[in-house]
Amino acid sequence: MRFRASIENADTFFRIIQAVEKLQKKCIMKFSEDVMYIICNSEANEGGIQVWSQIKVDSLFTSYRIQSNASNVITMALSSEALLATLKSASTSSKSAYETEEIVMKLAKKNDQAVLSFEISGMTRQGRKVRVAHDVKIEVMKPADVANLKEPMCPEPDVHIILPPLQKLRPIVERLRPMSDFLGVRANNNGRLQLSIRTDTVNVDTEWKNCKNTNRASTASQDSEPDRDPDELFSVLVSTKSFFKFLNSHVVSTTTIACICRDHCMILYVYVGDLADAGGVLTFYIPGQLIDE
Amino acid sequence: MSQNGEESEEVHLPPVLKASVHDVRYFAALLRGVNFVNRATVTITKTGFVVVVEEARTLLATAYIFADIFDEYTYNSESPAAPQDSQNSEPEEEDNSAFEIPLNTLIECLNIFGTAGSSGSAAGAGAATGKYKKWKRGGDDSDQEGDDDDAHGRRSSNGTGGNKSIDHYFGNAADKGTGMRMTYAGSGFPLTLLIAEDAAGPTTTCEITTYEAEANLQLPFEPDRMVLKIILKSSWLRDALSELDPSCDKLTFIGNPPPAVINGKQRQQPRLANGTPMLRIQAAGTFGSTEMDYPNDRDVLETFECTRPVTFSYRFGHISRTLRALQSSTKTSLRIDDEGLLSLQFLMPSPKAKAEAAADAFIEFRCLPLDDELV
Amino acid sequence: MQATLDASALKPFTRALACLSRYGEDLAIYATPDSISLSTTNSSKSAYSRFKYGRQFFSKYSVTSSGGSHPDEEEEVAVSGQLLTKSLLSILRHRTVEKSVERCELSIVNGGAQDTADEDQDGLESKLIVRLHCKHGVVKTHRLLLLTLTSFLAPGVPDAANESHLTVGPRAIRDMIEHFPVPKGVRSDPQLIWNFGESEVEVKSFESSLDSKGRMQLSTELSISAEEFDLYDVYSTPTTIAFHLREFNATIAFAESMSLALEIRFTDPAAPLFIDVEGDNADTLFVISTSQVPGAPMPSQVSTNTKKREREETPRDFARIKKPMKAVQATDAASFAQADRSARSQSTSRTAASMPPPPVPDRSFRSQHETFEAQMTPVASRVREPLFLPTSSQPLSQLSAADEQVIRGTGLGIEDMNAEELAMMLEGEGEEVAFDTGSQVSTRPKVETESDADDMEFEPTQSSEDQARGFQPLFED
Repeated sequence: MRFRASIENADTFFRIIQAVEKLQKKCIMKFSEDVMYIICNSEANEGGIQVWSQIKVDSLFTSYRIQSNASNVITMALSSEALLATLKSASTSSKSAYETEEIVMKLAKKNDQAVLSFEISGMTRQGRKVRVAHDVKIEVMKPADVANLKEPMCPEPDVHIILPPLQKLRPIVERLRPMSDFLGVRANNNGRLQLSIRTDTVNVDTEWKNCKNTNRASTASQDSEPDRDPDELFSVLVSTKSFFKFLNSHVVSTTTIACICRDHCMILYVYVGDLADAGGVLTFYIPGQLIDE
Repeated sequence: MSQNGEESEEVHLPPVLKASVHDVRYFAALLRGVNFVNRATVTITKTGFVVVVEEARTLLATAYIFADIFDEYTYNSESPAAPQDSQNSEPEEEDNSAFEIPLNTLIECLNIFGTAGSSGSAAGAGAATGKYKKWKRGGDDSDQEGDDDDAHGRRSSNGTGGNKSIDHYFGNAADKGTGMRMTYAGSGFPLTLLIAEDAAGPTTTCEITTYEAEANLQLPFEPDRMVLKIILKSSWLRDALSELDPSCDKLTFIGNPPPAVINGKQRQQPRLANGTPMLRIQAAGTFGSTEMDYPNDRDVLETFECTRPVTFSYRFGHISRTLRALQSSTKTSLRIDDEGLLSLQFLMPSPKAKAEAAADAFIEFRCLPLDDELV
Repeated sequence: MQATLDASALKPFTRALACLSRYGEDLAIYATPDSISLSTTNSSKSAYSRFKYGRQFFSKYSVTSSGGSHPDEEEEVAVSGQLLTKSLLSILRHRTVEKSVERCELSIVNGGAQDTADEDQDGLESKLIVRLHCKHGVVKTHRLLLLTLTSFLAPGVPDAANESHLTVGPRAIRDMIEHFPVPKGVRSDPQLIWNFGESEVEVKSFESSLDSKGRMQLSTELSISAEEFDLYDVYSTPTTIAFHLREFNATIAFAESMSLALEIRFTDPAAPLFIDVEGDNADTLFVISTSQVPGAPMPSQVSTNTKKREREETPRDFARIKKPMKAVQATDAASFAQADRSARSQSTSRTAASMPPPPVPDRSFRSQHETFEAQMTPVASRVREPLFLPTSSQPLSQLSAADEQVIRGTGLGIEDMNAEELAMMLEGEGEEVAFDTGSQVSTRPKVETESDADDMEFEPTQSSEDQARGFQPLFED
């Protein structure tokens, strides 16, 4: 089992883990030859939210080498907090005054403990060399356990819609969060998106009319149900807190596509970097909540 | 769902209240000034409305919100028989409609986009900062960020057809605020708000449940029983209250009559010749005590009228409830009557230019003294 | 005592108080006709900070005797008292002070003193009066209750012969420390291990980032050229010391706010570290006790080290402990000023540091004194640990049940030994991994590595034999 790579884009890596860390203190990272997967699938998560993300190796790393008996895949569980602290130290966006020259990430063993080791070399303000090394403790997962990691099942979504910028959604949901535990999300295939809460004291509905539906959704609907009414709204009720946790990914998002499977779940694809370039995507799965209305 | 307001307007009798404003920050600041208890009584009249909040049967806070702070304001009496020609200056005695409302919910709804000048949690949108936004006159340069989002678009999109010329909004054109249209169909109906930032952005509809109004505490202040009257810059009082140790439980106002005018000029000393200050604010906490002495200097106390030495104490927790109102207020009038009833009036400057003759709204707090200080 | 600060002096004074408040809760004030000294010690007596302002710092300054004293003996004109640092700081740090205060008068009035007719003289309690003269003649007077200074804590004087000296700018040292993650939580106070070599300085995390269950998930190491230090004069390289960051960071923040460099002095590992921040207007002294690093400088020992501070109470720590060195020690009022001076000047000339024990006037004082004594007696390197450290006559009963079980499990019969005996038994031996490993067994997460996985870089790390192997060194002895 060998693994070594240079981190080329520490800032993006840092922001991805920033979004992940707010969701789960421990995460699973699976490295394959081309893709880094980050998985947060704890059942204890707020409102059942999960993250299944894929980041193209090329978008973060260079000199990437991986070798294992499990088809050159290495899967590990580690503290997202510790990883975040490490990347903060490596990231140039942090306030550290050291100019980072190289960051090498590799699998190592220290005192019988498997670690993901980060070696950062840089320059001080005075231009002298400085080296920082972080060892993040990991648990290497057995292939059998890795095989048991299953993405949640969901039907073909009823609607795909591009969300407004997440930093615009965030203050709105921030206001709604103390008012109601449940948030209704509705969208149609004609650019309409609604966020609503219903309580004894207040009903609040926020509506966007000019969102874009993605091609994928429109072609799918044309193929299968050509006469489906594009104005039909599909809704799902989710935990307000879990939706707010998803919005923490605004730090890394460029484009976000929301899919609604009516009364079942919603899936949110947070694209990292350019949509066309698709360096990676954080996929949030939020199950629908059933309450008596 | 967002058409509720309009529908009720057409199907039923005209709504009791229809009011709209292109920027809710002033309105929100006035509401925030009395937002220390969630349940507030709102009384609507044709000249504006009053929001009353009380605490512990001791403290009464009232925000007077005049009709002209809105771009559009229409009141239709629920009881058509009521006299419409009353010239009484007390709004309470006029024809009115009253209900109770969860005040904090109303404020949070107005600030749904984080652009109503939040004093609370910093919003992610960037336009609102964690700090309380100070109100500016219409002509002032705005410190709000945001791109040119013209008032035309906002107003037409909101369908607010006020009678006023559009020109006076240009002063605020760079302000990216939240516009609002509010309707109240009458007793038993929710208060409905339609909120939007601009034509391109989202719209929010809020229906806030209203409750039957209950009688509020009455603390009448009779001017002929007044023993102390001070007008000062609000910042002096705000600084004083914020500097006090929060562990203080009692706050005392001490006033002494000004010295006789000698040779046409007053002594400008914090303490009089015999060591007594003009105005002293005194408080005692766990680790010590504090006194703040103010001289009869026009820069500090614009008006100082005191007929006899006055000492009255209040619960600090009650007086510090005024801090939110003090934040956006410019001038404070402090009055105490012979039984210690305290009246604090905070002038809340209107963002509109003086030329429009828009009256400044104000917030008043009245508070009963602590029993042991009754003379 | 009366001291007047003008607006320009108020700022550094407030910064000093902000720094003091991060060292300790209680502020000791000691004023003589020449200077006023503000000092504090943290709750575990492992860190001490003092700012001394000469009379010239103030626009007006006077100390008058409050009783029938002899004006020619300056010790007797000293005025002292103690209060919560935060109560004074919160007044002076308030945002309105900077923009409106023109002058600040500090005065101390003694309870029962009859010498002024001022209204401030009310009651029997001593008070610190802070009078802020603001613009437009507004006067704000805060009276803070002043307690009697019961103990005079003064820094111990290091052995200057083997002293190391470092000078470093606050930004440069902060840049180093910032790479070490600070665990979340208000009480978190990580410790760093500093290894000063010939030309390189290595800094390592001691306890590292602990996750919510207290397990170490990250260890960090930084190495940098010794040239980053403006002055680098280490008595004997390599020297390894460890100390906590909370108070050190407070000193860095103060130095940075004043744009001043830190002058660091230290001797042996386990002897306190001294920092001076030399400025124009104040004489400063910061003392932070250091820990001896078990098995330094081997990183392997460090990274698998103890998960909690209590775990550090393993006998090996006592095996090496030398003469106790305290960050501070109790002294009396008379030698307090003296101690200050000697601590200041010792780097140039070694004064005979005479610190006679304080007088014991009454019973209540004595019991207080005894508490201090109890806190002081253990070695400086452990002063943050519980106060009831095993001394040489105590059996190892302070060990946690888990540790004790481990010890019993070894079959060495050491469980009934006292620390001294154990120390003798372990004398001359390398680091004892066994205790750590033993105590870690229960905390280490199950790493389920495939036993047949690949290049054998990751054999099974946790199994019953593995535990046995962990104990191997002890069994072999």
